[in-house]
Order: sequence, then structure tokens, then C-alpha cells
Amino acid sequence: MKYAYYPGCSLHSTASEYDISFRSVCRMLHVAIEEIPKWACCGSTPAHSTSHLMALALPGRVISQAEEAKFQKILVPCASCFQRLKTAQYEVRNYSGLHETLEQVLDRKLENKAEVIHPLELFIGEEMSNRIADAVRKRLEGLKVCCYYGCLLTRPPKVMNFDECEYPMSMDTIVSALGAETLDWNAKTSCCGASLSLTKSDHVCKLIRDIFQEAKAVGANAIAVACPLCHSNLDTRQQETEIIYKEKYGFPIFYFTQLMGLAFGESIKALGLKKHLVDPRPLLSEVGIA
Amino acid sequence: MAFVMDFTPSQLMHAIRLGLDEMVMSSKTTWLCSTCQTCTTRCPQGLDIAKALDAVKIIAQRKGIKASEPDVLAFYKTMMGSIFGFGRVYELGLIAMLKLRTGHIFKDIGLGIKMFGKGKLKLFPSKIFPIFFDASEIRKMRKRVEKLEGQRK
Repeated sequence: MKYAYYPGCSLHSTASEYDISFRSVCRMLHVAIEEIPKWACCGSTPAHSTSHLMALALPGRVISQAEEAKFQKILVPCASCFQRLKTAQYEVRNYSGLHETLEQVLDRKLENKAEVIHPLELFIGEEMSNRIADAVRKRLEGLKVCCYYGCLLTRPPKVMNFDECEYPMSMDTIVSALGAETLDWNAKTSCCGASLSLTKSDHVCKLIRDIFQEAKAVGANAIAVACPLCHSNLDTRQQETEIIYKEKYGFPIFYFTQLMGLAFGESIKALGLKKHLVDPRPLLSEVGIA
Repeated sequence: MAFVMDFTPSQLMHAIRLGLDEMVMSSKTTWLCSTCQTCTTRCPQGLDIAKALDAVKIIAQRKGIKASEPDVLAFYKTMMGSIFGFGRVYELGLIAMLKLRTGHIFKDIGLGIKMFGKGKLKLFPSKIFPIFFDASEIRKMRKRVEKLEGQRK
């Protein structure tokens, strides 16, 4: 079965390394994916903060396009896109009259039956776990990883219906299967400030400082994420936060797909690991991974 | 983000219940909410607080009430402009427009240059060009949404 792939805007720009590492991991695990043709933005925070209907119509359009192309499952790696698509599905299912209104706005048919899934959800399935175990060429020993899920992958639970909302484990399960040590810690689902990074960066620095302190307290040497905005905040604002708070963190931030790719023997360049502002290469060579 | 809000989300829910519209609409709480969904997830009364905060923002915009955090509203408008223009978010254009709208021209310039150097910001909305056709579909959706929402006013 082929999955529809909805990268969203971030994976085509600031998070292009999430896109290339996800594609490469899918290739190695024999997961067939195809990008939804002519997709548009899901609207994200600006849409749901300015128009309730537009915020449902934009992700509704993506679902409708996938259904039109006869896909039954849509893979959505971006946490925000994932949450918006699931929210649209949930609201259409639960509020009477909304389905008709949305079809009217979209001027398209919306079956609302395609299943929206996150790659984490796909990779923790039993069959995939076996494939992952077989694909590991280089165990990631020496990496002590805090898996950071952020807000939207699991919240609100009635909509997302994915993993445990306060203390999720799916990413930990995958990353530890790669041979890395995953750590129990307090900030798994803390907020990084999301898009307020563009307008209220000092508040974002405070929030990510709290996250870094928690990771430091348990002895981590890296943080894994599954969201482009979490990555952007933790990686690009890390140095600034170190300066503001006169502390040293030095955490390379990995997309979990990059860790998978590394364990499967993929090269640093092919996983976009040179694109990070906090260079992960010193740590990787220190522990003898690359 | 509760540490910078002038009212906590639960206080704001009470204010809404008490009909203190002016206080609710002029509060910074709604604009500083990052929609992390923690309050919605944990509310013992089952309120969808994050969604209520969105509703407050939307009503305030319809009534033309000045946003207490204008930069945040400028970001929303700029990004929606990008979506209606290109169908997708064109980050470099968004950042440039946001700087013009908020007047913070030099904010994060150094960071922007570093990100550009790492290939994280694209000079042109290159992958966007093939879908210009789609952006017209998005603009049509916007017109229909505005018509429907106008009827509800």
C-alpha cells in the first residue's frame, strides 16, 4: 500500500532535513510514499487564530486531495500539520452541519475517511519494529537522548488519540531500538513557544531554557524531536539562550528520522545533519558514530 | 506561556462567564497563547480553553478592537497573506513583510543570515511556483469563507 505524504511548508524549507531524512528512512524500510500533488498550507496557528472556518477548510482540502487521489492513509511528519488535519477530521465528524459547510467552502467532495497518521505511529507498529531491527547497521551507542514531543503530537487527547498525552513513549521506543539510551525526563511535552519565536523570542528563550535545564539534569547529550517548530526553536535559538542566561547547553537537536537514518548507515550529508546551527558532528565523532 | 499572561487561562474563562467583555478583549492572554493545548487537556470541567481563546481573538478582530499584542496579530496576517498569495508559506518573504509591519527591522538579522547560510531559508518561493494555480483555489475558498462568516455576524 502506498501512503500519501503531506510534507507541509516547513519540510520544504526550514525543516528540509526532516523531509530528506524521512524520505530516506521510508526508502530503507520499504515504505512507499507519494507527495500529495498541488498541496497547500494547513493554515497552522494563523488560520485558527483568525477564522474558524478557514482553519478547517485548509486541512480539509489536503484530506480531500488525498482522497481524490485514492489514498487511504496520509503520513504527516509536521506536528502542527498533523494536529490541524486531525482537528479538521474530528470537528467534521462531531459537529452537525459542518461537513456540508466545508464541502461548500472547498467546492470539493470530502469523504473524511482517509486516516491521518504521524510517522511515529507508523514506525512503532509491530511489523515496522521488525523491519527497523533488521535495518540497524550501526547501533547508536553513546548517545543519551531526551525525546522531546512538544505540544501538538498528543494534545488534545480526544482529538489526537495518539500515544499518552502527558508522558508519551513512542519516540523513546523507536530511538532505543536504534541502540541509543533514552532518558526519563520532565519536559517531554512542555511547550517551546512555537510560532511566538518570530515575535516574542525572549519568552521562547525562557521556555527552551527550562527544557534544556531538564535535559541537562538527567545527563542527556542530545535531544530528539518530531516537529519542525520544536527543532527550529531548540536549535536556532539555543546559542542566544546560552548568552542570555549565561549557561552552556551544547545540545545537538536531531529529528528522530535523522537518528534512524544514522543507525541504518546513511551518511551525514544525506540526512541533512550539516544544516543544524548546533553542529551534531563533534558529538557523533566523539561517540564513534560518524 | 502563562508566565507572561496578564490573566491565567482559567481566570479568563471566569471573566467570559461573568460577561466582562472589555477585560477579556483587551487582555494579553489570548495573544500570548501558543495553543499548546495543556489547559484544554487538563481542564477538570472539560472546557476547550484553547479554542475559546481563539474565539476571543476572532471576535476581537471582527469588532475591530486593537490587539494588545499587535506584533502577534501582524504575524498572523502576514502568514495568511503568504498562504493566500502563494498557497504555501514563503518564509523569507514572510519575515521581510513581518519586519515592515512591526517595524523591528533588525530583529534576528544575524540569526537569519546564519539560517540562510545553512540553506534553511530559500531566496525564492521556488517549490511554490508550480502551484500558483492552486493559490487561486485558496483565494476562492477565502471568498466563500468570508461570505459565510459575514452572514453570521
